Amino acid sequence: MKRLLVVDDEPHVARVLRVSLAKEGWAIEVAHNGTEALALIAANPPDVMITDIQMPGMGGEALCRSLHASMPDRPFPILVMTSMTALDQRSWARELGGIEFLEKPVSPRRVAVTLTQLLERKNNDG
Amino acid sequence: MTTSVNAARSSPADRAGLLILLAGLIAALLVAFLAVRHQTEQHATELVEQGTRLVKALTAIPKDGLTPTVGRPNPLAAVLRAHGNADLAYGLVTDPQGHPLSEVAAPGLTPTLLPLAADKPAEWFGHRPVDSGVAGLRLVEFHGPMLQDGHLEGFVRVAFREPSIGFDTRQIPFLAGLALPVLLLVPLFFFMLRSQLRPLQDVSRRFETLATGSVGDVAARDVVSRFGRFLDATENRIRELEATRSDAETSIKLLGYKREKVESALETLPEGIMVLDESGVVVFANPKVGPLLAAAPADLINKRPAEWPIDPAITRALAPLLNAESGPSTHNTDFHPGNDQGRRVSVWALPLFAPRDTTRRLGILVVLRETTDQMLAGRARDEFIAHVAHELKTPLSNISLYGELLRDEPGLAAETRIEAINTVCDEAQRAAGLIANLLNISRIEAGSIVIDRQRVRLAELLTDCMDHLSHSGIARALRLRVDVPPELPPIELDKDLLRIAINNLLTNAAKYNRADGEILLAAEETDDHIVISVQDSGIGIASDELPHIFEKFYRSADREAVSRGGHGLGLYLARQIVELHQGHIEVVSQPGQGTRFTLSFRKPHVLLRAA
Repeated sequence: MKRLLVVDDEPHVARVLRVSLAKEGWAIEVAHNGTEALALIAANPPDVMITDIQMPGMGGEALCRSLHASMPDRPFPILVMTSMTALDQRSWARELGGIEFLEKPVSPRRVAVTLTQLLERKNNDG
Repeated sequence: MTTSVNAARSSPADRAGLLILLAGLIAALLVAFLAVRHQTEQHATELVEQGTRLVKALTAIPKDGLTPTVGRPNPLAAVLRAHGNADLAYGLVTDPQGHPLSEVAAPGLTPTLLPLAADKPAEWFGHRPVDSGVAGLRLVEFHGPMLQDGHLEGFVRVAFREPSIGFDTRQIPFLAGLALPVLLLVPLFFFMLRSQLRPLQDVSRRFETLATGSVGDVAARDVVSRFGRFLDATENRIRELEATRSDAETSIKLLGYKREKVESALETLPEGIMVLDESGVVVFANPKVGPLLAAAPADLINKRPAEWPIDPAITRALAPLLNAESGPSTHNTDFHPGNDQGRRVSVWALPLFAPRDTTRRLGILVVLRETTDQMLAGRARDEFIAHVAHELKTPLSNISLYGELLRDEPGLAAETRIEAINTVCDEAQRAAGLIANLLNISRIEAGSIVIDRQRVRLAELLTDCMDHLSHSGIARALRLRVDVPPELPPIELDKDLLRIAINNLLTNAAKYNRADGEILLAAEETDDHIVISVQDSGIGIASDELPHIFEKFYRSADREAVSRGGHGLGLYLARQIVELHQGHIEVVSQPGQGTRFTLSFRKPHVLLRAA
């Protein structure tokens, strides 16, 4: 079972992905901000993490930087999915590396395809 | 030959000398004439005094004492001789009828027997001119009566030669004393004048010689001619320069006046103004430059930018604008004074060209202005747009997510399908509500909303609001109550605006409520106020967040609250609407228990009293 961590303050994203990705063999875990996500990752790192950027408390950028600092050999790719205009956010993501972008609104099918690509790339690199 | 010509002519100096000499002689003669005349008049006066005195003395002598008797000398002759006056012509003693009784006369003279009027006592004493009988000799006769016990016994008559104007050998020493210094000084002046005039005389003679061409020197004449033209041209040039100088003085005064006016205007501008000359040196800086560059304007004058005592980072930032040689490579830049990112100064540089030659650069005009307010306004605007975009995109994104789920997953469980449809409806309402709130906030903040007060029966309005909530999806499982006393008086409010505020509060009360919770919408009357309250039994608000919940775009950090959505505008708009009515909004909350909002509006009599 592939494990997907969804970090988003909007509950609907996780609800839809849980339904649409279930048949693809993904198990969904949900965190509402960066702090919750770090706790879940520390306990059990997922195969892929999807995160929003703008969230109450620790946002997506701070979460990624924290992971980059605490886990230099991070074993999972990150997909940033945000409603903010993504262009001005790509510089820090490029600097950290291993981060893909999807801008909301996005279809569940597009998410499923992107997740599969990320997982294959991870397996090939590994 | 030249010498003989010169000798034949009398020089101007010689002529001047002769004139001076002649004038000196005339002056000497005039002085002598005046002196002689004065002396003659003085002599005549003295003669009258002597004659009168002599006659008085003789008349005091008895007649017998003056008449001769045989055997003794003539007493009159003795008296007159004793008097010793050389001008004495004659002396005569007569009886009242004019017959001589005694007579003394100078040689060659015969006394005139012109009778005196014995019957006119007023004429007895006096003097008169008489004819001497000698050509050119005039006499003055003095006469007086000889009285004996009041009776006229005869007359005494004494005649003197009348003094005349003319040369008198006795005056020779006096005249010589006067004439001598004049005659000595005149030649002295002549020789002094001649020695002073001699150089000019020589120059004059030479020019005269050249001008007349008597020497036949064509070259010299040409020189003289050219020299004359040169003098004429020089004189004309001097007149032109004088006129130019006068014009320049006027222009300088005008320019000074205009410069003062321009500098005064530049110093009162709110912007900092600097002028750099063509070599890049500051020639003017108004006082506003000081605080913007953190340097006294006087410390910038006569210095190039590299020498300014300011932050080097600012100097580097301004360098592209202040290149005096090639001109500004850019015309605008910004810097943060003291590297304070919260402040911004904008700088514009404009090349200055000569008014009549736009290819010649005179320097650079630099304008500095603090644009911190614009920067902060720009940031606020950007943040606002980003926030609104995010808040709008979120419900649209959710609608898109659920819509695609419904389209792509035909085998969805019925429960999931219903949830998807409800979510699409709720999110569409959320987006529409956000847009409506944004528009209303924009109108209120722009001041374009006019309060349309009308009599509002709260029972009807609040019931209507609650009905609207009950038909929305978010309040499906909640218990909704409206509690308005029937006797509550109508209140003057803008019904449409109040409905927006109450709907926002009711939406929040439903959104953040328990699944089986309750909402109570009530109204009550106090002495001065009508109070509307919205109470829910929801998740509540933490006490540290209560002071912020009416701020624009404020979102609770509470996880439960976040999970229920919201855009941070509903409460902000509700407060704006209440305050537009001079009302007051308050909140009381207990986390886990619920929240109560109260809206207080003053009754009409309180409003009147306040007015």
